[in-house]
Amino acid sequence: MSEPALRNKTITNLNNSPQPLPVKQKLVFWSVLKKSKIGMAALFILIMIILISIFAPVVSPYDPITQNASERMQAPSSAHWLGTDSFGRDILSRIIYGSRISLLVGFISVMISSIIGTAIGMVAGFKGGVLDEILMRIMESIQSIPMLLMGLMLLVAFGSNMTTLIIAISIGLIVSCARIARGPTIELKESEFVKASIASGASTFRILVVHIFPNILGPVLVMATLHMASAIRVEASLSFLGLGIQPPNPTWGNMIQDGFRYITTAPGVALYPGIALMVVVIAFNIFGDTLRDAFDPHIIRNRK
Amino acid sequence: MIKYTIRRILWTIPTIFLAVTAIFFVLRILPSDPASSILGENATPDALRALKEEMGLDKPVSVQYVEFLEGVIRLDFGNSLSSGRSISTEIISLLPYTLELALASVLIATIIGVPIGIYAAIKRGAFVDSIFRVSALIGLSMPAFFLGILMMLAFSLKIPLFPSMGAGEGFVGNLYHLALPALTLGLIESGIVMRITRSSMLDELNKDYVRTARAKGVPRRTVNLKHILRNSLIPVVTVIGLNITTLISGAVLTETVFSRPGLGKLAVGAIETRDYPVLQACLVLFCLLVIFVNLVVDLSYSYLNPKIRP
Repeated sequence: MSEPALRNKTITNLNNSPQPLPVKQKLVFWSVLKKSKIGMAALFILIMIILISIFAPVVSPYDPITQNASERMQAPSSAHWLGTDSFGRDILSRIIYGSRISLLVGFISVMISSIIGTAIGMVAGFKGGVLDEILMRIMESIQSIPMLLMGLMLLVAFGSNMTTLIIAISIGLIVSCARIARGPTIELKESEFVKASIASGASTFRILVVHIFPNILGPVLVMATLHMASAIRVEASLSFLGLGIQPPNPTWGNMIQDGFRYITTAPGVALYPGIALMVVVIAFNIFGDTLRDAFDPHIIRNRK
Repeated sequence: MIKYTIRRILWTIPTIFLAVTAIFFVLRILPSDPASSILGENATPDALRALKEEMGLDKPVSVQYVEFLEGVIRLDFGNSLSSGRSISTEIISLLPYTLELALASVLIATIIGVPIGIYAAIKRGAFVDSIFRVSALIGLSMPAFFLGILMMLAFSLKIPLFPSMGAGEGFVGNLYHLALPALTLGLIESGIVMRITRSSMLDELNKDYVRTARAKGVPRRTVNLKHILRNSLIPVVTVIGLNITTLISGAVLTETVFSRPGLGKLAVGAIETRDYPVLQACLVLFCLLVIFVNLVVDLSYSYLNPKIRP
């Protein structure tokens, strides 16, 4: 077994990654998902948060950016449910608007990285040989720079804006997408139906899209859900370090950074956005984990 | 085995080369000229030129690049712009702080994660198992900086057990200051360790040798703790090693939250003071660290598990 394949095996073991999805399992999938109470709770929370962020202007009680000097650092009250920050802005409203940036950055970077990463992984796995070695070597180089530091480096170099943030997170996430797609592609390449397709003269592009992609869709979806959690966490971490989207635009990370200064006197200013962040990341991870079980035929048998 | 080892070691060279080159060129295309952003807008052209010369920015990029690569090989990164000291000396003086944080958190993660993982695997499907599963997910979901803030709030400000910032003097003082940052990182890591221990125990549970051992009357406890555990710890060792990236990002964040000296704090500080050579050195160092640990993990993995040896 060649070295990148070994690496992939390690990773597959670590992630406990699901096998390609047999057609029959697709029907079982929703019923398994439905049985997991905690998974459904996570899904419910995620749907609520997505709705809240979409309808932010309707649901948020105040404007998130307008400062109000007379209402600085107020404790939670009926007027301001979660109190106000050092500029007199309503914390609840800022959390609601902050969810937009978290979800948007997360969603776009996960979309980009899933598409590019899956494509790279499928091509590398299918073509094999030198191309595979080169692509996986590049992936390993990318992986040697932790995602947080990748973001840090690119944001310092290109300035703190949303495009850079999205690109940085996407690059960091591409590697595991490529690995997830590559393993099953190598296995599928040896299967009868792909061989038949090659023999009948189908183009590589057609084989990858029509035959291989549908079979790795399950693991890719699971990965994408789990990546939402990572992306949101990294975005918040970078904002916390003062990079990322800049104030006065609210992000959970820069709200926590701002609140951290008043941690001894008014811990709530940092605490509430932090709890929001925590809940969303946990919900994505739990939902992704449930999704993985639902796609994994072994677990369906073992857990009743 | 020797052939594989040599091959694997040689393969790290292009990886290092690619990563280090990427770091160099990304930091070289900074939109603002580092020299002018350090001196401010009112800098005289002479001062600007002098600083550029000192930083080596007046030379063509290709020359700078070769000098940078030479520096990486000799682990000599030039001088810090803000303190004027040699960056390598600065890094060596801070390295012990980050290393002790990393080691302590891995230790905590193992102490918490492995036993719980074993227990959850033995009790698979039971209520405790799902409780642990969810707790592990919560642990590994935690953003390091926020868990740090929570820890600080709980065990330093509300219940004043531990100091909230800095690093202490002497062995005891050091441990005392290490407690909260290490616990923060350790708890996050422990979620990952627990999950991998559990799933790797489960992988082994259905193997033939387990059935044989049970059939010949070996007590369940002995089978679990001796036969299965020994075989299932290989992936656990791997995951602890592979988590070096989580550990590095975590260290950057916890060192910032707890104002603890270390490499992460150095890197974040370098951004604030626009000390680009220091930032570059930190990034290169972290990257070398990740590649090195991955190499060690891969080699030990193939040493421990002959099956995957090519």
